[in-house]
Amino acid sequence: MTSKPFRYRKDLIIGIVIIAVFLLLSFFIPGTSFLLARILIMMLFATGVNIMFGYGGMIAFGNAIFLGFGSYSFILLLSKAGIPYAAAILLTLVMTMIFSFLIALLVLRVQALTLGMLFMGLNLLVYNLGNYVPLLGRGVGISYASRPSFALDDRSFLIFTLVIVAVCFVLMYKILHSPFNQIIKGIRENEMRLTFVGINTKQVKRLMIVVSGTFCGISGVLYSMLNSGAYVTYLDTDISIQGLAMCLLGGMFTFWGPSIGAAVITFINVYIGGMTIYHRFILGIILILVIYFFPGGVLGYGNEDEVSARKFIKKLIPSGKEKKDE
Amino acid sequence: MSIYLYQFLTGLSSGLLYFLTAAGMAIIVSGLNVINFGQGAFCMFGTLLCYSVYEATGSFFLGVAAAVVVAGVLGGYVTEAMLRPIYKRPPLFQLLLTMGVGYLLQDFFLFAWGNRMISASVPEILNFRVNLLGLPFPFYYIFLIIISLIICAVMLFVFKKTKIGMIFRAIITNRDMVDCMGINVKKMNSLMFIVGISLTALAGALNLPITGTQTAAESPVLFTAMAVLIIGGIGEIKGAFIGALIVGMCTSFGAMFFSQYYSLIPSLLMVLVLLIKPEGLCGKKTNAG
Amino acid sequence: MKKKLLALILTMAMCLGLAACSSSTQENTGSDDSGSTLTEELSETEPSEDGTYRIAVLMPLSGDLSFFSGYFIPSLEYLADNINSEGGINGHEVDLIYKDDQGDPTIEASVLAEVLEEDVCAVIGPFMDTCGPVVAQWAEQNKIPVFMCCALATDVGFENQSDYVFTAGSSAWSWAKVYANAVKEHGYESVFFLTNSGGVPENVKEFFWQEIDNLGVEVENAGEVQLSGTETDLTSVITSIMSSGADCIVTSLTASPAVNFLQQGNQMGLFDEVELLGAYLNDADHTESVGSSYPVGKVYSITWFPISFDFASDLAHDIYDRSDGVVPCSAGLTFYYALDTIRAALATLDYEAGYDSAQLVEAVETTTCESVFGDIYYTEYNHQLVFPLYLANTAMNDEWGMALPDESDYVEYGIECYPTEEEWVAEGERLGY
Repeated sequence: MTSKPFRYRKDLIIGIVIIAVFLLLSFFIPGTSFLLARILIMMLFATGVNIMFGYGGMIAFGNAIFLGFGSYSFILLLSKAGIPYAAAILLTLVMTMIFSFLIALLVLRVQALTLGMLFMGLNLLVYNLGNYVPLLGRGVGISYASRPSFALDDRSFLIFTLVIVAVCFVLMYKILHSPFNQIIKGIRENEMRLTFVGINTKQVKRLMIVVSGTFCGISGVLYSMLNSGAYVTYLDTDISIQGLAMCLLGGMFTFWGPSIGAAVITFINVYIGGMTIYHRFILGIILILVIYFFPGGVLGYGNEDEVSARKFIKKLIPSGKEKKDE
Repeated sequence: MSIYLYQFLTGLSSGLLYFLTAAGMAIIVSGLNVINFGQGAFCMFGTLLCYSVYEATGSFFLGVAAAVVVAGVLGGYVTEAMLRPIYKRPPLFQLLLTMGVGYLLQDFFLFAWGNRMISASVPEILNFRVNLLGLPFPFYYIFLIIISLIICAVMLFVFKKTKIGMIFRAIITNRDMVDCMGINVKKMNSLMFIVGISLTALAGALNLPITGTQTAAESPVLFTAMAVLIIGGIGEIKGAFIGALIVGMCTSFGAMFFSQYYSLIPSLLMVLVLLIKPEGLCGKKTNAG
Repeated sequence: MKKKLLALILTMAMCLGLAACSSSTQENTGSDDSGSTLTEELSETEPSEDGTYRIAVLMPLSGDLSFFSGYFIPSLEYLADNINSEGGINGHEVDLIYKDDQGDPTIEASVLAEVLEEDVCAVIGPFMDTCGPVVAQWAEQNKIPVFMCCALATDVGFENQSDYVFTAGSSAWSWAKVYANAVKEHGYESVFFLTNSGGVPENVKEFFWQEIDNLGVEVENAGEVQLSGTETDLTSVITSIMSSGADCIVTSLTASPAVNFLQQGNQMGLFDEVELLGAYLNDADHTESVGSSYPVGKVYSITWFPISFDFASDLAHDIYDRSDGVVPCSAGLTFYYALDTIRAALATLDYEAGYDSAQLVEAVETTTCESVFGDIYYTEYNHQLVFPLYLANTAMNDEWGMALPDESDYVEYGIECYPTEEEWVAEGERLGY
C-alpha cells in the first residue's frame, strides 16, 4: 500500500511534537513534571489497553491486573528480594509476560461479553487479594523509593519516563502496523473466515493479550517508580474502567486516540479533583458526551481503519440487520 | 444447631436481597441487551430516598413505596431520554452510557444529601425477635425473606400468566419477531427497564435499616449483583435466583468456616463458574463468535 | 476533516488549559522552585514573602473517607483563628493550606509534589494510615517536618523513622496495651478479633496478644475475621462471632464498617452477650450516624477527646460554636494538637529560624505544649506525641443528643500505655532496624 510511508512520517511527527510539548511544559512551567510523568504513564497504559480493546476487539475490563502486577512485582523484587535495579526491571518484564500469558489462557475460554465479565471478576479477585495477602502489604501496599538513581527528582524522572514510553510506543506502533495488523483486523471483522484460511485465531488473540499485558505492566513499573510504591488502588476496577474510557474518549480505532483520552482523563482526575469533589460527575458527563457525539472518539475513525471500523460495529449488533448509525 | 439455622436465615435474606437487584439487571439485560452498570447507583437511590421519606414522615413503608415509585420514574426518564437515542448502537456503548449515568447519579447524591453516612433503625413494628430453636432471631430478616419471596411469586405470575409477561418473554426470545407482530418493542423495553430499576430501588430501600449507605462511596451492590448474574447466567432470572442463593449461602457459611477470607467468596465463585461453565449455571450456550 | 480539526483544537486547548491551571494553582512567593525539587540542593524552604507561617494540611476532602474531614476542619480553623486573632505567633500569622489526598496514597504523591511548591515550614497529616509511608518518606527526602495524624504500623514506623517525622496520632502499640489491660480488668474469658485491611490492625492484634502474655492473663482466642472494607452486610460475621463463644470483641473498625457493625450487631442481639472494645467508636463521628440503635453500655472505646467529660467540655463547646453544627471528635483533636505543638515550637524561634527545618525539629523535640490534659510533648526516641487515652464506656448524653463516653465508667491511661525507650529500641532490633 503506497499510503504506508506517509503514515509513518505523519505519526513520527506527531510523536516528536508530543515529546517536545512535554519537555517544554516541564521546563517552562515549573512543578508540572509530576503530573506530566503521570500522564505519560497513563498514555502508555491506555495504548496498551487499546491493543486488546480497539485493535483486538476484546472487552478489556480488567487491565488493572497487569498494571498492578507490574508494579507489585517490581517493588517486591526490589524491596523484599533485594535484587539489583536493572535485573529487577528485566525480571519484572519477563514475569509480566508470563503472567499475561497465563491470564490469556484463562480468559480466552469464553467470548465477547462473558470475557469482559470474567476479566472484571479476575480484577476484583486480585484486588481483594491485594487487600488480604500480607506479602502485598495488606490493603496499604508497599512503599519503597524505587526511582533510578539518575532520575530521582521529578524533572529528570520525567525525561527518563519520556524515553521509556517513547521506546514502548515505537515498539507498539511497529507491532500494530506490521503485516500482523491485517490478521488483527481480520479477527475483529470476521474471525470465522480467518480460521478457514488456516490461521489459529486463538493463538493470535493470546498474543495480543500478552502484548497488551506486557505494556500495561511496564506502565505499572513506571507508575510505582513515580509514586514510590505499589498500592492496592492500582488494582482497582476503577483503573480498568478509566483505561477503557480513555480509549473510547480518544478514539479506539486509532493509534494516538487512547493517548489523548489518557491525557484528558488524568488531567481531570488530578486537577478537577482538587477544585471540586464532584469529579465523578465530570467523568460521567464525558462518557455520555462521547457516546452521543463522538462514538469513534475524538479522533474519529481514522483513515485506513474506517472501513473495518464500520464492519466491527456492525458485527457487535446482535441481529446484524440494523445499519450503522452514522 | 441453632447457629446453623441462624446462618441459613441470614444467608437467605441477604441472598434474596441480592436477587432483587440481580433480577432487575437480568430483566434489563435480556430485554435490552444492555448490562446496566448504573444499577448500584439506583439501589443507593432507593436507600437514600427511603431514608428521607422515613425521616420526614416517620413511616418506613411509605419510604419504601416512595423509593420504588420515584426510582421507577427516574428509570423511565433515563431509558426514554438517554438510552432510546442510542438504541441502535452497539451494546458496549449503551453499557458505557449506563456507567456514565451511574457516575452522574453518584455525584448527584453527594450534592443532594451531603457527605455523610446514612442509617436508620428498623421500624418499630418489625423490631422484635422470635425464638428459633433457643436463639432469638431478629424478625426483620424474616420479613425481608417473606417480602422477597412474595416479589418472586409476583414476578413468576406476571411472566407466566399475564399478557405483558408473555410479551416480555417473547422479546427475550426473539425481539425482531415481536417487532414484526406490531407490538411497540421500544415501549416494552422502556417498561422492562423501569421494572428492573424499581426492583433494585426496592432492595435498596429494604436494606436501609440493616446497612444504610455512605453517600461518598460507590455502591458495593453492583459487583455482587454482577457476580450473581454471571453465576446464574446473564439474562436468566431463574439463574439469578439460584446464583443469589448460592452467593448468599456461601458467604454466610463462609464467614463461619473461613472467617479470614470470607469476603473473597463472591469473586472466587464467579471466577470458578466462569471457568467451568462459562455461560452460567442456567445459561444457554450462545455462538458469540 | 472537521472532526480532525476539532480534535486538534481540543488537544491544544487541553495543553493550554494544563499550562494555565498549573500556573494558577501555584501561589509562588518568589522563591526559585526548580531548586526545591532536587534533593541535593536546598534542604530548607524559604520563608514566605508576606511573613506568614505556611503550614500544609493533608486530609481526605473528597472521596470515600471525606466525611471525616468535616469533623477535622472546624478544630483546625478554630485554633488558627485564635492564633491569628491574637496577632499570630510572635506577630506572624498562620496560613493553613488544605490539600485533598482522598485517602489514596497515589494521589498523595502528586499532592505532595504540589506542597513542595507552596513553601511550607511544616506539614500536618495525613489522616489515613495507608498514606502514612508515602508522606514519611517525602518528609525525609525533602527535609520538611511532618506531623502525622494517622497511626503507623510499627514496622512501617521503624522503616520511615527520621528526624522529620512526628506522630501526633496514636500508636498501634498503645491501643494494644490499653485493650490488654481492659481485658484483664474486665475479666473476659474469650476474645474475638475483628480487623480490617491495613498494617495497623494487624499490628494491634500482634501486640495485643503479646501484652496478654506479658500480663499473664488467661484468655482464649475465639477467632478472627478480616473485613475488606467494602462489605456492608456483616450479618454472617456477626453470627459467627455469636457462635464462637466469645464474650469480648476487640476491633479496629472505624467509619462506615464500624457503623454498620454496631447497627447490625444491635439488631441481632450480639451485644446482649458480648462487649466491644474499640477506638473512636464512641466519638461523635460514629455515634451520630448510628443514632438510637447504639448499643449503649456495651461498647468500651478508646477516645482522647471525650466531649462529655468535664475537662473537655469547654473546648468542645468552643469548637462546636466555631463550626457549622459539627460535633467535635477525637480525630479532630489530633489535628488540633498537631497544629498547637507546632505553634508552641515556633513561638520559641524567630521567624527565619521557623523555616529552618533542623531548628524547627529541635524546637519541637524540646518544647512542651499546654493542653486540656496538661503538658504534652513528643518523645525523643520515636517522636510520638504523648497524651492520655481514655477507655470509656458509652452512655446516652442528653446535652449533645447522642451516645458519648460515660464519665462514670472510664479508665485513664497515661504514659504507661506508650512503649518505653527500651521497649521501642528492642522492638526495632527484633525487626532488624
